Amino acid sequence: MDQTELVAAARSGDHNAFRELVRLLEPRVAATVIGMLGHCQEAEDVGQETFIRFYNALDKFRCEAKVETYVTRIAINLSLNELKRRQRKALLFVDQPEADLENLSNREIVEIDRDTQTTVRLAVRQLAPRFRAVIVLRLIDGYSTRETAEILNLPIGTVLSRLSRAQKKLKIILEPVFEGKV
Amino acid sequence: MKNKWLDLLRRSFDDHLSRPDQETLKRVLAESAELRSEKRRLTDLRNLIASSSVESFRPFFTERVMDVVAGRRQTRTPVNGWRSALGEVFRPVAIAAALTIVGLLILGLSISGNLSLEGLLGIPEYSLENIVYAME
Repeated sequence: MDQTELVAAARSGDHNAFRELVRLLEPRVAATVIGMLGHCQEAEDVGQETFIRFYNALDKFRCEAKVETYVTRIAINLSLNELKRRQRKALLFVDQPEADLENLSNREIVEIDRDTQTTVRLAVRQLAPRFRAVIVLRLIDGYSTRETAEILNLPIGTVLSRLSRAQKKLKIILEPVFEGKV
Repeated sequence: MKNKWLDLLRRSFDDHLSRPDQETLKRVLAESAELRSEKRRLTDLRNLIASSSVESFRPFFTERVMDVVAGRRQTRTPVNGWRSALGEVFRPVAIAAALTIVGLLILGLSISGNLSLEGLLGIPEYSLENIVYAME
């Protein structure tokens, strides 16, 4: 069964069809949510909430969009909400480890002994949420520029300019990685 | 290296370039070693970011989601549905009732001009003699 058929089966109450959808879509949702929030409990909660929202919206889903794109849209919106909540919390409480990881200096990111992938993930987390979202969707999830624009409900020109600015910043942060200093 | 060529190079990764732009980029890439090096760096950066993807949550994620879904399905029985609908209706009714009571108290206060309970509730202040007289 393809994803559209699985949605139809899940809508008519087939529990196993929905389980299969979760299994198939977990990698995409995990890449999006962990790319946005980092590997933390909140990311897992947002991932879970993504599928619960999808389950609740099964009756409304008319397969006009691809299932994967639809679920990614839920995941990215919930991640952006979580980042707003994290920022509000960071304003109120000093000790917020996850928020602190989003405010490291370039030197802190590359100096501490980390593997390259962790360094790259930390570098992505230094981007403002709107820039991070385009990088995650376009470069990590591998959506086309047009699909990225559709998911974020933005004009293609805005996506292109955000991608360009985000890459410039990432290039500066990750310069030592390319020079082999990390 | 001109910013114009750099922008064109960056755009080539994410946008469909027109035929003249493609030819221009090809030409300037052939001419400029610096731009070729920039292209390599951008390609490396993008590959590095793509490879940083984490594609799974903790083990048994699907089971945890299905547990929550099963829990929601149970709460969707007709009786529970009726109860939750009642709960949803109760809140606005309770808020409206509370506001009405506060409104009436303020109205009673403004009419009677004092803070007595009778005044607040809009009950006329009868003395014991008045009540006995009324009963006779």
